[in-house]
Amino acid sequence: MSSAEAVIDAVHLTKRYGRRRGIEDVAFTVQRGEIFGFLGPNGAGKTTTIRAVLGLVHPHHGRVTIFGHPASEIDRSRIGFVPGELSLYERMTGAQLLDYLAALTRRPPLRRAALLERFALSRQDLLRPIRHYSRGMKQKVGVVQALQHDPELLVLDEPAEGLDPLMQQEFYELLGELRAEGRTVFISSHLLWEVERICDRVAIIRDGLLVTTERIDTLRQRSPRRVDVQFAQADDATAFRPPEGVTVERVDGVRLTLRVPVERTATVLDAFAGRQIADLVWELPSLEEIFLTYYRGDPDAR
Amino acid sequence: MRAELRRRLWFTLRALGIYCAAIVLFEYLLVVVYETLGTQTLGPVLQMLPPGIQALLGNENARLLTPEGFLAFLFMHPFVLVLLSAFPIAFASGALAGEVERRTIALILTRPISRRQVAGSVALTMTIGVATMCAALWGGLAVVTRIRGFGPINLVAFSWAAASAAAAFWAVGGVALLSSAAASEAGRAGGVSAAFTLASYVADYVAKLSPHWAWLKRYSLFAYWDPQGVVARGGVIWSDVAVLLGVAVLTVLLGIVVFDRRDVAV
Repeated sequence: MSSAEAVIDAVHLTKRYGRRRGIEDVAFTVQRGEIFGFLGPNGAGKTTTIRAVLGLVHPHHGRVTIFGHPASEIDRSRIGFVPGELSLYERMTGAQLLDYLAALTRRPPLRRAALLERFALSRQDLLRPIRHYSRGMKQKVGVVQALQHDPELLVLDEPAEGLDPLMQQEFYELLGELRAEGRTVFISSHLLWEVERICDRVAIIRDGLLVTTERIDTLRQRSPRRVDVQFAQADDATAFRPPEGVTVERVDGVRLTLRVPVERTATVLDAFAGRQIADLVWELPSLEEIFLTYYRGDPDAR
Repeated sequence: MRAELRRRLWFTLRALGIYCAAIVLFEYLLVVVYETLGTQTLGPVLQMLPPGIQALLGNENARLLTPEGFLAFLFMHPFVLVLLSAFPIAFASGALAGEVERRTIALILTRPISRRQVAGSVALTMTIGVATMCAALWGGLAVVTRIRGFGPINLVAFSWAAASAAAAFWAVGGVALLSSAAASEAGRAGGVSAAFTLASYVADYVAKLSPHWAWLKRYSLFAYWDPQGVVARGGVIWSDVAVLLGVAVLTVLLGIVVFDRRDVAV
């Protein structure tokens, strides 16, 4: 936002659980109209951050503002939330649950009919008690309850878990449409392909510490390239001495795989001079590779 | 808050109905037993019991041998006590700690309803439930004695006994609400509340056994609840009712504050 455009603004968020660290000095801003991914393996602090954003836990330090207001004072009807490990009221029918949550939200469920159709939830399905639902159906109801009142901010904790591939596809398309409408999405996931596919920016959290917040394309541009070289002669591959800052990941006969920081590109090309090259593939890293780089604690990645 | 209260009441109705039906059925059975045995059989049996057991039954001055005394004993019967305690403990434990444990609380707390309203709706439903059970206790008595022609009994005195029961078990519910507000597992919250209630009952009983133990009375909720005395007097001791209501109000308010301030890790 300029702060006028920030939907979520987290500053110095710290939460400890006894001796165990939850999150430490986490800070990020989610802009209006973007899909912001929050990445980390289990136990890294993703859910704790979401809890702090939603006001479910009280941080020891720091603050979160949503739509410019402290998390404890915001109008929650502007938020839709799909919890991780979703749990619903099993004795209610789907219809009862959606009506009840709509009544609590105090906003008409304008999107409900369209969402039910989109996620193939029939009227008969909704009249059955939730305890008889499959995991996928529960997840669909979880998505509908979060979106039915047309919230401006969606907070999603591992939202595609339990959805079949078709429904996942539908769900990602829906998120894209929401972004196009100017809605904001904060999504936590450990499925990197999911995040890479839909997010504009990501934050990566490790052991409770935020290690980076960046646009995915910028992250990829900044990260070391993977270079696959196929020499005409095997000797060239084994004899190749990488320039400083470049690492050899694999040597396999005439093939050589290097990790090359962007600023070492020219040096590497120079190092190839005088050798006969049969093939050369220069690849941008995937988000998964970037993520693993951060998790290995490689300083070159930052 | 209305939607939240409606949901809680709706899903409590069936359990509450079962509790109330059990109370009325038990009243009916006890009246039939009394009629069948008669005072000629009951009297000698009661006189043979050790003083400690007679104190437990509230048979001071052979109260149990009058129809009113016997029916007043019903209020203190362990079965009725268990029912009157079980509802507020089970409901309050399941409603807050249970929802945190099942993680369903996240669906509510991320909506425009404050934690105070959530805890308040639990307190209100628990209060309505306890009041309904105590009304069933009195209403069942009125109907059963009329059907069986049992009596004469002073129904007004029993209405005071039922009202004081509501105050006592509202206090039990308040303790359960407080325990539930602080816990993240229904079993733990219910266990703490049940242990408190049982300890309170035992303290009152032990205090009746010997003057040496009389000091325990002041630590027991049940010391301030004497339905047999209420029926005998035809009215309540207001200071006792005030203590029970004070405990109830204090624990409910404390429960609401605790739930408002705690972390909900779901």
